[in-house]
Amino acid sequence: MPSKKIIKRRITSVKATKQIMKAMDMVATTKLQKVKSRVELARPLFGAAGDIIENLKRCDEASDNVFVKPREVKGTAYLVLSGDRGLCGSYNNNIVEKAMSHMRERDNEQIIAIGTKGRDALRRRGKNVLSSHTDISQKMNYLAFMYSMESIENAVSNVDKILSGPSVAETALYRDAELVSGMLIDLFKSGKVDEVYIVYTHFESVLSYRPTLAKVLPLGEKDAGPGKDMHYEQDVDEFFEHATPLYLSAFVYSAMLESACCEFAARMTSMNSATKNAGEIIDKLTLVYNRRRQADITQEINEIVGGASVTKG
Amino acid sequence: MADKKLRLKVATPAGFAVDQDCDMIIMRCTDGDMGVLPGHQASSVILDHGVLRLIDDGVEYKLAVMGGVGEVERDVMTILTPSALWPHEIDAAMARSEKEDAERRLEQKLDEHEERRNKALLARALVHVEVSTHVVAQVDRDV
Repeated sequence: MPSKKIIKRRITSVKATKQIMKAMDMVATTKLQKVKSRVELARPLFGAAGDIIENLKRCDEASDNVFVKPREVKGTAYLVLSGDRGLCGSYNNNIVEKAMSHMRERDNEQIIAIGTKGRDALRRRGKNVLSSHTDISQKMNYLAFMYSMESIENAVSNVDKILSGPSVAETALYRDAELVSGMLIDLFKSGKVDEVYIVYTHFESVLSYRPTLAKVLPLGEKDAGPGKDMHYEQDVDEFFEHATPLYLSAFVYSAMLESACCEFAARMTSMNSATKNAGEIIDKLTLVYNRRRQADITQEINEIVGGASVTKG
Repeated sequence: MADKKLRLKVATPAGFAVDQDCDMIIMRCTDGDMGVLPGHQASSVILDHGVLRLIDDGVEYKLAVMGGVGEVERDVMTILTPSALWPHEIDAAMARSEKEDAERRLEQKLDEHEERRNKALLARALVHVEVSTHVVAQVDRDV
């Protein structure tokens, strides 16, 4: 059995780790709440963009459009959204696995990675990562932080007008989404790839999130259903030129937010269980410590008794 | 037509910038201005960088819209845009200085890409300046 001193030192160290994990759990919880509210805000844009695309596809001229018409698949582009940091359970691993399992069926893959964890994992497996964006999570943190600052400032002053508009972080994040979707559209239009997939984590609830692979380009066949009698002010092809980037940016933007939500949720859950485990270890170590102390005391008494009997005798 | 209203919804990444009833909308499309009244034929439009004018009960409001697409159907006009700002959300001084910067850079002889970028920046700044100086909207909205 180790000495009292060594056990004591271990208890202190586990206690310190427990505190850190508890703090990380709380931070993730707060950030999750902030980002979740942003997901709700972005939903109308994404939903309406999808509707516009559906209506467009029902046009007679649409079936020959470059964005709609399926081509023979020679190359495939993937946008893989993962986190920049670990300590969030199997979140990053799940998304890489999801992407990898699909890539096994395709050759000549071109990957745009968001997040260092996904980028590194895919590079290690010898995949062709064209470009990577690794400051998204920082902007996401900033967004969560800005949001809390806004509510504080609004509560205190309620006059700052600039703060009532979309925040700087939000605009910056959407710019990134536009940049990435622009790259994907360039790849698709130039013929380097014939299909575009987005791999992200779909947020259902704090305890349930699943890695999802969504095909975004080509836009695919029109849905069965009655077509709307829609009048197009401009040429339908020109419409696709404008509506497709908007749809894709909105998709990438909400995928970014949803993935961030899942990352925070995953971190929250894993840090929560880590805190519990640390508590159990502390309990066990305290028990060992007490036993050791009792053993030490018993031994001392034995020695005193033994010593006394020797001097008597 | 005063009893019949048109619902305007402007969706941006930060949520609905506008979700209200009005009498008339005039917006800048890629091929010119377009006005929409209640009972308009179902149609879709491509928006350009420009001012969206919203007329309700004789009061005109202005909104800076940075492109996007719009769809009108059954008295509901839905506009999707990367950015839509009310006058009070625009920093007027910053918009003016952005306009001057863009004008200054356009005077220099730059390559085609730079020139296109500066023209886009100037267009944006001009819209922001126009909207931010639209005082009536601000007063009426605050009431």
